[in-house]
Amino acid sequence: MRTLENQKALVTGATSGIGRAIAVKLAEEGATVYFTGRRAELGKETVELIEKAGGTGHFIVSDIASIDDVRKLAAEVGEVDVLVNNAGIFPFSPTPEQSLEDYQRVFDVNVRGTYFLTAALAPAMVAKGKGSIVNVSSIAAVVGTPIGSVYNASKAAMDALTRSWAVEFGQAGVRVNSIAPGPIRTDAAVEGAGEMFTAITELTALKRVGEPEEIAEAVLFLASDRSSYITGTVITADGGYVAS
Amino acid sequence: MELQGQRALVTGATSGIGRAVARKLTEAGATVITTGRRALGGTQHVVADLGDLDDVRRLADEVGEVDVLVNNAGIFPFGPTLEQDVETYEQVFNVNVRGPYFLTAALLPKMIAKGGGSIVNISSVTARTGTPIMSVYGASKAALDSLTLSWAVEFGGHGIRVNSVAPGLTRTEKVEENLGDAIEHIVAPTPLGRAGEPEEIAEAVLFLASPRSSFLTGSIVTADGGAIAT
Ligand SMILES: NC(=O)c1ccc[n+]([C@@H]2O[C@H](COP(=O)([O-])OP(=O)(O)OC[C@H]3O[C@@H](n4cnc5c(N)ncnc54)[C@H](OP(=O)(O)O)[C@@H]3O)[C@@H](O)[C@H]2O)c1
Ligand SMILES: NC(=O)c1ccc[n+]([C@@H]2O[C@H](COP(=O)([O-])OP(=O)(O)OC[C@H]3O[C@@H](n4cnc5c(N)ncnc54)[C@H](OP(=O)(O)O)[C@@H]3O)[C@@H](O)[C@H]2O)c1
Repeated sequence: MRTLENQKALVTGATSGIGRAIAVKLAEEGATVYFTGRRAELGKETVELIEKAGGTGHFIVSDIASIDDVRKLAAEVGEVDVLVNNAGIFPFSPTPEQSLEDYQRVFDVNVRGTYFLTAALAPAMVAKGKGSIVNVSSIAAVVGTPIGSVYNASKAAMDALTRSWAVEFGQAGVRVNSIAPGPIRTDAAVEGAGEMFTAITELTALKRVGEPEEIAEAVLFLASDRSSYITGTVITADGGYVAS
Repeated sequence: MELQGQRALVTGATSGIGRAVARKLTEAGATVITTGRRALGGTQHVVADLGDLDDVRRLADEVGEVDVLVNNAGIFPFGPTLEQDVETYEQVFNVNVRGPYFLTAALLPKMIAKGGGSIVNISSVTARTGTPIMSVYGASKAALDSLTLSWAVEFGGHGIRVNSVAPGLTRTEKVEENLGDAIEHIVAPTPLGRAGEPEEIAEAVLFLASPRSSFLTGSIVTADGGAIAT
């Protein structure tokens, strides 16, 4: 039997990159996957990829920075067994030049959206006595970088939510964990980091960057019963970047 | 089967978590060699005392080449610092740190020659929490986690991944014998409100041993029912 047979999952930000790989992987493993993003064309492509993998996917256009959209999304999707908070943005800027707008946006998408979506979906998991929530944070949460202060802080906030929610919902059988990826080859990361992206390769122990599918495998592990005693943890998947 | 054709060595597989890990890796298709001081039936078992360096070398020689190494053998004789005797202190560090260190060092050259492998160290959440009676044990497991980080960096270029699984309180015979009814009191306030089962730790080890965790190295995977998040 596939590991997520008969389960329903919601993955935010699955119109590209890591989120797309997660949506396809969970669907391959038997889950009915609902996923979000703002870019409709790319959402359709993800549905096609899911179907090609023999799974079922439903795309909902939704802006996680909008509280109204978050509430509508939760109402539309209803009860889920697995929630993957993956949608995120990473516009870098040195602190003195940080615009208030971008600052606000990073926290709205990476933290506030995750927060209120989880708040809306957790009660059904608690009532059911079971569920798994996976936050896609980043190793940026635990390292200092010259132009990532806001992003890094938003991901550290996410990891703090992971711990709090593990404690808050654990007795009800709901597990909450973070996956903290290191450098992963997505269009957004490659374009965003530019030349830095290749340079980063040398800073990992494995001397390579990761692929979205490798993060998806780790998310699947946390989403499934195979990780039944794991909650409140941050699992680093970074090719040994932080260790070095 | 994800470990088909692979050879794995699991230390301390005569009971508890190690036995569950050996079973899990076998189910996943690996040829598993077990070790411990106690004898086990079967031809794939090597009796060895990890506290004894001659035994460690003999074990490495007999085992030869492995794709997966699980450093699980460990002892946890608790005691307050002010009453700690030197013998027990030495024994904890010899079995929990020196044994895995020289065993790993002896097995690595063949892994390097092969161009890949996965090493999983079984540490403990005690490496990262303070307790009144586990100072030596906690320090030994913190040392083991540190070896995980160093080895990940030292051998990552050869395609060898090194990670830790840090269990919380897990219901093994040894733990039941040591703690008895106290187990329930200890785990009641943790998020999941229960002790772990050896099989649950074994699943995490299998994840790290398998290609499913191909981008994980130098990671410490905590499997503690949320205990240290509180
Ligand atoms: N790639 C890396 O190296 C790396 C490393 C560590 C952590 N991460 C984290 O991994 C996650 C995915 O990153 P990625 O590299 O895959 O980048 P990506 O391809 O840009 O994916 C981000 C996803 O989030 C969605 N999203 C962004 N803003 C949104 C909004 N306001 N409302 C709804 N959805 C929104 C995007 O969809 P739309 O644009 O269609 O809305 C897209 O599907 C992020 O949380 C990121 O911080 C990535
Ligand atoms: N159970 C828990 O709550 C828990 C929590 C965190 C971490 N851990 C760690 O998980 C590992 C396994 O613990 P467990 O609970 O499964 O305990 P266990 O049942 O006592 O298993 C310990 C294993 O290590 C072997 N061992 C001990 N001393 C040895 C020596 N000198 N030479 C060779 N082998 C030796 C034992 O085999 P022989 O007696 O046959 O030598 C046995 O197979 C340990 O490293 C422990 O620190 C356990």
